[in-house]
Amino acid sequence: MSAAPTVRLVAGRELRERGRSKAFWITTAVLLLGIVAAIVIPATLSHHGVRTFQVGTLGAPGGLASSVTADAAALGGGAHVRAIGSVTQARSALDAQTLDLVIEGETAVLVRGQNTDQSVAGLAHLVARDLAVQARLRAAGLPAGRIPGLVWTTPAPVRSLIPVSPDNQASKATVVLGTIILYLTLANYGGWVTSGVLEEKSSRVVEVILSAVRPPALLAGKVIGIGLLGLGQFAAVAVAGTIAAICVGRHLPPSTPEAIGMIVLWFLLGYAFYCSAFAAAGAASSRQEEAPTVAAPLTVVILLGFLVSLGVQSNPDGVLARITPFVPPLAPLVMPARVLLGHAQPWELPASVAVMLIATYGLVRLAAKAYSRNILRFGGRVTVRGVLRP
Amino acid sequence: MSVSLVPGRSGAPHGRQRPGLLELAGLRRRYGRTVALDGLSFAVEPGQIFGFLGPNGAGKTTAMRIVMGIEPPDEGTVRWGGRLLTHADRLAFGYLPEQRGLYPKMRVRDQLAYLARLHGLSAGQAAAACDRWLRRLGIGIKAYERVEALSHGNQQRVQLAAALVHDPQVLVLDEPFSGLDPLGIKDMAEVLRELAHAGVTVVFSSHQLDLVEDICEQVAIIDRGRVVLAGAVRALKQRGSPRLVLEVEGTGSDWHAGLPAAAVERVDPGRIRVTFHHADPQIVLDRARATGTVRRFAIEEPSLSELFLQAVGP
Repeated sequence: MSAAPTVRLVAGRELRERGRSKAFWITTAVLLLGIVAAIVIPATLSHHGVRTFQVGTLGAPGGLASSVTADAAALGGGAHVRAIGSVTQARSALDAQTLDLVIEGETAVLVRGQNTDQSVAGLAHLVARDLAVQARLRAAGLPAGRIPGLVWTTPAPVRSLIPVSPDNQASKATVVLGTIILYLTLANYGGWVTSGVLEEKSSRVVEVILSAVRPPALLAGKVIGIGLLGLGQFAAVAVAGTIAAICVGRHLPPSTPEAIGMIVLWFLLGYAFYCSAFAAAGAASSRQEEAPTVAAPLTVVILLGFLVSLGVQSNPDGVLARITPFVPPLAPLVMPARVLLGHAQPWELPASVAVMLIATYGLVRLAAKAYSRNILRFGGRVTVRGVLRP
Repeated sequence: MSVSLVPGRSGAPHGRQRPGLLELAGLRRRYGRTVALDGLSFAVEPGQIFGFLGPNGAGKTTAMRIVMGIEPPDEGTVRWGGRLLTHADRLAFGYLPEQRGLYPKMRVRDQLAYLARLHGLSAGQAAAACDRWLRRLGIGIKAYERVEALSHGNQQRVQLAAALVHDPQVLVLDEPFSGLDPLGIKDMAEVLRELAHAGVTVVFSSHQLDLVEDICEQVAIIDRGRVVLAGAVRALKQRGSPRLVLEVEGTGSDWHAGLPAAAVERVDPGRIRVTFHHADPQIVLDRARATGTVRRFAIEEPSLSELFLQAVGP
């Protein structure tokens, strides 16, 4: 029998037997619940639509309300300004988060601190600057009546090359979720490959199988079967996530399918890169309970990719973000973020995919050799030399 | 049981039907400094039950794994029907490894069907073969149980079914009788005889020499990676010198004085057994009858155990 039908049979068995296992359905359920929760919970907790800042004043000069409203508008919100009777009242209102900030007298701004959210901090800075300028003008002898007209105007608009739009916000959220899912699935399915190889090895069934199947065909069937199962789980997660987002009224940019496609592409590239290495790690051991240990070096590299990706998400045009898409072990977790956040040059995606494919070809050859050599070697210690020796 | 065992007759799954001589020629294999096979050569006729004997570490398992293509020889070849054995040919081979193993969580019938299909059977042929073998081996009611839930004996039966399910033309069985109870041994021997009768070549290794003597036509005894004794069981036994055993009652222990006795034992208070290797039976019998009552007089061929010990002994 030629290789292709054998690979299909082996992949079919992986799909059937794993699809029947409780572990598979539990991971799927956890992933689905996780993605729905990640979309629904922030949506129900966060403020809907335009945010209204609650601002208190303590003996502040008149005419503040209109300037605070203008500052708030610059941040894309509104403001509700009211006078507060005492410092104590102001403090307890801030603590209770019924007020976002308090203007004390003519020169000071009070916020809750630590947990102050970013937009409140931004408003506080704008208001504080206004107050300081006003104090300088007063000191310069300008009549109090003219000052509000001079100072409290709408700030000049700040434009951005990459438009700040709801679309952009939404794709940021997609990148965050997508990267988490990429990390979880790559590590998870990699672990399945290792334990699948060890299941065959520790139960010794591999000797019966290898009397009919060549090691590369067994390896190919196994990783394809597990990969297909992973892809199915991925599709379920994408569908569940999209439905959840629509149900809670999240804005879904028209580029959402493209974003999902990008994450699937990098899942496939990442899985292809890592799966054979996970198999080689499994073949290097003989005992089922050693599976997490022998897979650990690889899961750590995937975790590193995830951490680098977090850095890239906060600074998608930094040095890290420019270099790591061309480091194959890290690229699957980094490149989707850089592309989806709109910072990649047009040539970068194909170049990064090409580097990835070349590296995958090399690694698969090496790992398949290591797998074939070790799959029937029982007992003994696992050594790096033993795994890599040509 | 009356189920037909004739292999492969329900639409042969294997590319070619060419029962032929299985030849191992000059096999060498080393592991580091250990020499596992040192120029091992022997041949097995089609349709024969061939016993492969040797002390632990003689190289039996290595030789079988090389035949099954699971590991390569450093030197030497395996031929079948006059041609080098290929991967495709081996799909017509059935294998029972020394270290038994099946997927513990897979259902028995799924597992057998999977193995049958890996050996080239279609889904329909595989299903039919599974049912036939499960019935034949008396584990039909276990078909939908997970292997790990079965008793040890039933796991052994499933393991044998795994070697047989694709109706192989050659069976390579590493210690097939180990771990079986007497009933299991009887069943296994019966199955092997039926298969050989149907034209299947059966090669198996064993330590249970009485069994080998019982069911094998040919044997090869190997030691330190090479054949030390090989041939038809009948011929080997006839070639070995027969012994003469007498048990005599009512006589002193010295009735055989002057005769070349090899061993003398007192079996009962009044009975003595004397064994001779090289003696004229007529003279011995006359002497015995002159001194007492002969209760037993037998000319025995050497057992396989004795031949084995002679061949691999120090």
